[in-house]
Amino acid sequence: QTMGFVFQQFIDAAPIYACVECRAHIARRDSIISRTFQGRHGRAYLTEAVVNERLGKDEDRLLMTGLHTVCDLYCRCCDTVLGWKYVRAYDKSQRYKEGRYVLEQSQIFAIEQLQSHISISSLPTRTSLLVASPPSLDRVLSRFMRDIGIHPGESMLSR
Amino acid sequence: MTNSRGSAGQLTAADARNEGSPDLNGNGSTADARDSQSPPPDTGATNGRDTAALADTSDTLLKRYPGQEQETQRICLRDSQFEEEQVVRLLLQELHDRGFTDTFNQLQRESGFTLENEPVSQFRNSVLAGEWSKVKDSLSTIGIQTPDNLNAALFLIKRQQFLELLEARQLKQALLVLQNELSTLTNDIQQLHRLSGLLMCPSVEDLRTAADWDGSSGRSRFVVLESLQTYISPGSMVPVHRMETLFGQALAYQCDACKYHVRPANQGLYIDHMCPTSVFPQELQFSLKGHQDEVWYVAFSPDGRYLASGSRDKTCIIWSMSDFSIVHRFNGHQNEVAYIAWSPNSKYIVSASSDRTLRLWDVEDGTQMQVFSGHEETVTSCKWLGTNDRFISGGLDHRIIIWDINGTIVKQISSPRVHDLAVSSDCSLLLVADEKTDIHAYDLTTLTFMYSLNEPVEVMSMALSADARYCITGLRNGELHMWDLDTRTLVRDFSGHTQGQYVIRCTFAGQDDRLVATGSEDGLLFVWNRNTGQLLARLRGHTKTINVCTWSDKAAALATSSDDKTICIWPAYRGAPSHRPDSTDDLSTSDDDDDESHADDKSMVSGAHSTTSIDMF
Repeated sequence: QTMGFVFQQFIDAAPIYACVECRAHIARRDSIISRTFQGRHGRAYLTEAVVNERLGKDEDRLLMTGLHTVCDLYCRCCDTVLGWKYVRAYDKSQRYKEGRYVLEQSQIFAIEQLQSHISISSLPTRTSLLVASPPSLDRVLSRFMRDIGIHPGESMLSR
Repeated sequence: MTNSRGSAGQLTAADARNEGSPDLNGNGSTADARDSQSPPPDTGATNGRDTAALADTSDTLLKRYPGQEQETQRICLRDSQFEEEQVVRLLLQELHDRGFTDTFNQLQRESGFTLENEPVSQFRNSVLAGEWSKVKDSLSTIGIQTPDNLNAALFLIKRQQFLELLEARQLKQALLVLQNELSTLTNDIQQLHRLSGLLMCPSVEDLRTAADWDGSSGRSRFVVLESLQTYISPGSMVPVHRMETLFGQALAYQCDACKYHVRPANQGLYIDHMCPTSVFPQELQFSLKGHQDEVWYVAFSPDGRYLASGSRDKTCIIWSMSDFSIVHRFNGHQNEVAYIAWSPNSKYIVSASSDRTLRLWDVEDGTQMQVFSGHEETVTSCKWLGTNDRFISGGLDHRIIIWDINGTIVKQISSPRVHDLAVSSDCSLLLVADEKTDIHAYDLTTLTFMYSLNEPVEVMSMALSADARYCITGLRNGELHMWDLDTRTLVRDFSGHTQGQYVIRCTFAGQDDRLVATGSEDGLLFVWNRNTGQLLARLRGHTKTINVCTWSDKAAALATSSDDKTICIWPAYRGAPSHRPDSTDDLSTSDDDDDESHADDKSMVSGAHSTTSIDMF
């Protein structure tokens, strides 16, 4: 139930977590707040922000920590379920989770290093391609004159 | 009974009644001139006040043309803000150029003005005859203002002489000219080097191509004359085809002022050009159904006969614009198709997909010709490079690749992640909209970086005008900006539509890219006048977000595609010659020889199209 073409997003600085199915970037490792969450299939991380996400419908679920309103979190590129997002927490002590995302460790993998790419400013600019200083006209002409058989010093007018 | 220039401009009713003079008729006045040696006889209806004014006029006329026999008293019918000398000399130039020599001479005699004085016409004739020594001598007599201009003019003349000597294979004379004369006239070393390089040309044909010069017997001497015009004062030598230039400017002004400009100006000189409201696209001609999912790209073929569409359903469809049927359905991509580019000869399309490949399809056969693998992420944009064998693609993998249609990579460039590409029609400029907020301009011939334009938020789509002067960018925050690439400034903002994180493409439309159009998340197509920024129309024909809109001069129509799986065609001319079924006839018959059954098409519900409306402004 998507609504149009969306560009896939990329995180520029490693280390990052990516979708295990399609390798789409999901979250920065720095944005992980806690690694001690429990997901449906084992360990899970609580994270501040995600990219390339698609959210499902809001549902009320009774979790180990109480009643919450959550929505499923899908990878936008391949539609795999990655975890969920906390929309509302009904217990005061759980409020800190609101607006944050849980990523199941089994659904993501870590990318330690990204390939480096040339930045814009280091591409050759137009001016650097110009010839530094052309040889003098006289030198070019005298070479040509030799080629066509005119000897230096010979008067051209006499021909 | 006649009006003299001295009196007020209005003809009174009495004058009009008595106006039997054949002044309005060209033949009449000539007859008068020939017959009478004296002013035309006063008829009784002349008012007293006119006589005095008439006498005044004849005195001034005599002063104006000293030594000129006043054969007839020339009466000018109305005042003009333009100087008579200039108007007459322009007329003389037109008459001369069009070969009306009798009238030309007559007008010179009758008005007392000449098109060119003697030195100038001698100069012109010697340039056209190639008599270079005469030309050089007369250069000082034709009214060149400054020594710099004199040198520049002399350089142009000597260059032509140099080329003509090379053409005649008088290499030593040519060398003399180059060494002794050309080198002293300019400081432009590059230019001198280029000219000396021409000495090496083995044949006359090579010389002509290398120098971009068509020979002494071609137009080159006229071209030299035209370029000399900039150095000679226009008073001595009227700029060539000046009246035509002025007419052209007037026409350009009228076109600029034309609000709905979708038709070329072909109404002639008697009436001002203005596209009437009725020719503006406002009627939904046809709604094309055939895709099974959101349609993400649509493009007309350059010859206007076909429309290609790419969709989230991983296929491309070629539609015929004559009967709106499906011509081909191209299957092959493993993932959604987000971009399509037509080859200049309208025979092939290249489609780009999030399956990281591009595919080349033959529109005549309906076959897949080639798969291009090389991108490591979604390919977001592709454009042909002017010829039918090369195109360029950009992806989210930091790569821009120039491909040959046989599948090989011609060049791979490292770049920012590409959201959109634009190539100028002469293939000298490449614009790249990156994933952040910038647009980078590259010189495509040397592949060097030129400049960047900065936007405040992410650029979702970009379009370049045909003259490569303007580019429009659609932004994530719903703004549509227009940049002037000559000055590199933001010149206009278009608003009214909604756009967010979903890519909605914008385009130029109309005659000479006069209109700007974009879709919107509310399902409306917005069309603005590019020059005034005024919203011209909001067209409703889709039920969901319009993703792409495109215009074709040849097909004279706008096409829009939407998330509601359909494509709408909006023709520009009312009563277009092509078949126009009524809008409830919504199925396109499929001619393809695919194995897949398309029975699903008939049962597909894609949104009501019985309500189409348009707000015109």
